[in-house]
Amino acid sequence: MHGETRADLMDFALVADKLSGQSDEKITPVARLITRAQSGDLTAFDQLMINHQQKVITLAWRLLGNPDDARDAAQETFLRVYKHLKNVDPARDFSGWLYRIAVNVCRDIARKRLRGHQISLEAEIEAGKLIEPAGPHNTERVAIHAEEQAIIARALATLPVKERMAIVLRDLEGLSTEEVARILGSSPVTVRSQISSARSKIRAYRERWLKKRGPG
Amino acid sequence: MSCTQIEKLIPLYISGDLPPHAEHAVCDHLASCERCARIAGEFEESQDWLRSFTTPHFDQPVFDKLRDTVRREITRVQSRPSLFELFTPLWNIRFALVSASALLLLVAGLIFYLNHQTVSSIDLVHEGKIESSQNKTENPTRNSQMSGEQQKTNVIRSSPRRIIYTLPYVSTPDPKTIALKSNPLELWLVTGEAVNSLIDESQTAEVDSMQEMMRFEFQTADPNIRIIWLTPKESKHNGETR
Repeated sequence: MHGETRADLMDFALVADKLSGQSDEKITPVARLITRAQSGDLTAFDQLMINHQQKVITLAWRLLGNPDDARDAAQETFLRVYKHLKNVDPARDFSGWLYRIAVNVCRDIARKRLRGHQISLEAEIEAGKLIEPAGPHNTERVAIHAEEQAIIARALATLPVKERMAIVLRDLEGLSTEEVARILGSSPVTVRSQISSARSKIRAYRERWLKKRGPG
Repeated sequence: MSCTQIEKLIPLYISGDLPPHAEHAVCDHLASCERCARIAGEFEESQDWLRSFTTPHFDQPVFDKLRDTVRREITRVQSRPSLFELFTPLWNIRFALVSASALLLLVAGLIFYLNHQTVSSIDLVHEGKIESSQNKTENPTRNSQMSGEQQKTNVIRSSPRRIIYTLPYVSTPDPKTIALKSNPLELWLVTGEAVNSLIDESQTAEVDSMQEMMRFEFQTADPNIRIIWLTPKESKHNGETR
């Protein structure tokens, strides 16, 4: 009750700012939610989570390739968001900031998980672990689709962590190279190099899989 | 550009990540090179294949559980008492008085210790020797071998504005004067300026023994002023100055 009253006051202040023409572009629904959450309104923070949970968990799943790890990553991401929310300028790009936190969390989890056994494309091929393509008798589209999804996930898992993050953000999340560079904390040139390398590896992986599957 | 160079650029060309001049060069090359055009086609197919990657569907209960866990964790962190709050139950008048007394005693003890240390250090520096006038005349060679520092009286700066000026032990075979060795002479408690003049000129403290009295002579910076201090042998501090 008390929190909502404070939040209402904050809303009132924002509206007053808007009326006075000081910060027209700052008043977005997300900015309003951030302001309320910063004042301790857990309902507002909950709404922020609802708005972004799908994006965060999807990104985590693409980066980690594992639903359990994705859930853990999403949880840790929102906890970190709450912890550092007071330092956030509501007028800034919240989505980019959220991406950055999610990527860092996933990077930490990936490092922990991959410490000890790094998957590589060459090792996969040598060990014969490339997923067997569906047999000619299996003509169900669902099965083929599931198989392809598993192969793509496997192909992504063979990439080094940095390349995987770059290609997921650029090709699957649809961000620009500059945005990816900002999120990953590196230069656009480096990101382009990582993306180029990752695309070449994905193509090679796919070509090998297609050869193994045979024509048709 | 050669095919090898173009091949390196194709992965970025297919998504428009190349600068305009490089993009035009690749585009022109692909129009004339069948092999490179096939590679570019493979990259585009690979891109489409990758983009067909869909994420699994997460049910609403998964998200509900996620938010619930985050909320619980936030509440747990917020309800965790801070370091100050851990000590708050102990904080009452009696505790405050005891703490203040302990602190006061500690400060008093510290001040006493520091003062005591200053006095002790005065004793420690009494290592320089000034020979009596009698000794000087008897042993001029030894006197000339003494370093300047040894002949200087000791000055201890206990603070920038307070300087304790002391005389060293008097070493002489005269039994009447030897008695002074057990009690080093602390003669001056003066300001820095006064000491500066004394340091240079007043090192000629002479201790003579008289029949009933002790006599001390000091030459100040002014050659016309000499301080002579007479004191009874038994009570040295009740002297008179002339």
